[in-house]
Amino acid sequence: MSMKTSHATFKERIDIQMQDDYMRQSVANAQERMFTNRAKAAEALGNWEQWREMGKEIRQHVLENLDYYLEQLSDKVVENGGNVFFASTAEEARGYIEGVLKEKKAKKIVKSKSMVTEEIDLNKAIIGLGCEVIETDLGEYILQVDDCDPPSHIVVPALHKNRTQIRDIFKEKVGYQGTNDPEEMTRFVRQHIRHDFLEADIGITGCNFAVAETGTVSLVTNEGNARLATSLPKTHIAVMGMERLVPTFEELDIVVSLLCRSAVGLPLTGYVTALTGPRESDQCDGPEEFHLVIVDNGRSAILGSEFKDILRCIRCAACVNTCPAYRHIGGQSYGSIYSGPVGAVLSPLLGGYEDFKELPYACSLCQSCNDVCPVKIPLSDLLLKHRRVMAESKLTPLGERAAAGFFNFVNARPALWGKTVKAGAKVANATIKDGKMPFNVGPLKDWTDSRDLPQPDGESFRSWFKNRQQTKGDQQKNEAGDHHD
Amino acid sequence: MTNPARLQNRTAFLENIAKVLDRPRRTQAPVRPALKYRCHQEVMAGWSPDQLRDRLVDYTENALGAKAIVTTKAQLSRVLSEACLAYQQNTLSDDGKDVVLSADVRLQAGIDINQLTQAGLSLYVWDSSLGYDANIRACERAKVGVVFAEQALAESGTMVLYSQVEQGRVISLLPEASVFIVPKSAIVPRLTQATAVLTEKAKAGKRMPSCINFISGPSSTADIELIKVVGVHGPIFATYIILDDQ
Repeated sequence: MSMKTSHATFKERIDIQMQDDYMRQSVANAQERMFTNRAKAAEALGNWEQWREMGKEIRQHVLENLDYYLEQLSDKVVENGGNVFFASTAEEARGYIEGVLKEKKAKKIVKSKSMVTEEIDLNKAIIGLGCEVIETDLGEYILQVDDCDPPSHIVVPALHKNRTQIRDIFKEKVGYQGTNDPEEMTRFVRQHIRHDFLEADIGITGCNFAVAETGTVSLVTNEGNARLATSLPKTHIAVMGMERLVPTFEELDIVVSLLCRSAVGLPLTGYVTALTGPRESDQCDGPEEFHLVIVDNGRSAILGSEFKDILRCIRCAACVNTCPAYRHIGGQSYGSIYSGPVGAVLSPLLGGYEDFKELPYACSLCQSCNDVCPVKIPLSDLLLKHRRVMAESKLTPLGERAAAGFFNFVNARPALWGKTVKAGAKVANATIKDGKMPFNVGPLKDWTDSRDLPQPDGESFRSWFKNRQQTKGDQQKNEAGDHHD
Repeated sequence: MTNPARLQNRTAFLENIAKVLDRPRRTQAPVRPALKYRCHQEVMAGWSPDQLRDRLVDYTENALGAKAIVTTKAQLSRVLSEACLAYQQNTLSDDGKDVVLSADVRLQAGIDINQLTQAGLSLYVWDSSLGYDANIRACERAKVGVVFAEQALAESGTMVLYSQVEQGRVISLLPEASVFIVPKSAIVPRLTQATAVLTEKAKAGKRMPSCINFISGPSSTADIELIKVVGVHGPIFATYIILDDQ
């Protein structure tokens, strides 16, 4: 899967998603629970604002000195016996990984959940080499088995499916015979793919945070699949977005604490695994060979732009879990592997405005995302910046610009304005029947589709208001007169 | 000097970062700002070892769905046997009967192998010299893996493991049940104290162990309808044995 998960338009995607009552209810419930868990965990820890401030400063410092810390990290990985490849583009990253797969004559690859490997469309490249690739995170496994259905949440990718749908998918695709009980299905997957871990030639993971000082890659997980993928296969390839690192273990403490609480409401997830290079020569499990692929793929352009704050992101999805727009339209409507507020900021930057120009409008500017972000990214401000950039570069829909242009022209000319509103009132009176207009005004279409307009009385607001003031003034005079009597 | 084949495309990549940051490339270590607050140091600061132990037990049993047993060195072999036997009876499939024991000297010095065998357990002791296949096979078939933890974190019910010759990664990963043994003196408030040890190691110029795990209970997921299911790809059961010897 690449960044873009759908060829339908934003409007078509929303229309489909809004019909899915299960998905909408499930997203609403999930948001409620995850939001509450996060809030409780933050409260239990105490001093949450101080923690957030530290998170922000750590990430900021790394971004300001990114070239130094990446140099330190890569030196250390090589010193520990690993390999490092710097990939400017998704193509370069895929090309390098393909090279490793060929060299190792790999047939089977196990993967643990990684957004950046989705972003660079790695699975397609692996399959193109004739290799088998198994997504081993339960949520990702469900989606892969279901003909690569796109994820709807960056932490819980199969959130949009209910247990019965999952049972049916397993039954059809992998011969599952059991009930729709989540525990039974989970145990089935455990048994079903255990042999894949043992047979795999290569394990591929993402990287939550690298530690520059020691050349370490850390993974924050729950299921144990990332541990298996980095303990059994002879080769481990870790793929990281170039901004995902901290200077030392001291800072790792802070960002991991923020991530676990913000993502799942726990002090720590089931497994936090810190991997440093290949295994030592005297040990017998763990990979013999370690490759770290550091991916730019548009990030350096963001670093040099007014959107650089988004690179602080630690992918916790707290913003997703509080967003009213996400709640209503669901993750797949975004048409990107990154959904919610972070997705609406990041997708146009990494994937271009052409494909993702609507996303910055999937936002009511309630700013709730700003308040929950553990590294204080001003998400809603960045969404507004997107809108401004698009308006300035004439990327907003033509109808909207034409309407706004007409408005600006008339609004700048008071005499014309007066005539126009009076004419408008008369036209409205003549055309609006039973709350509907006989034609659609482009930019207002979605609004008028779902709302009935009041029956106009042929008078413009201004003239109505003027008359009302007049009448009210007369009334007040009369009332005042009454009191004096 | 580093082998160029093992480090590719770096110069152009980092030059580009310097360019977008609008300054020359930074090759000298920047001043790493001290953390602005000390709230992470203040969590459970000043708690006694007993308080930390109680918190660890409470969190483990109530939040993680794992067992926590407090015992003494003298009782360790008996308690460990009982814990392993319970899993022999309760686990899901019936192939494999072994318990894999870490060869960590701190564990081996604390237990009486005969007592475990007499209790009816068949044992395999991790042996790196036998290579990958033999050790993986033993762990894959075993019901229980027994390991010794470097530290335990009271706040999150976490066991800290370092990979080492005597104690491979998969002992706490492949068997259906994990048993962790940790002395009370190794219980610390939170991740802060565990990462401090690692930072010290790094400052002393030591290589990190290739795999450090912070393990909180059995494996779990909430990927289906956000319902928590314990036991996914990692262990399904976990017991912490805390040696109360202070």
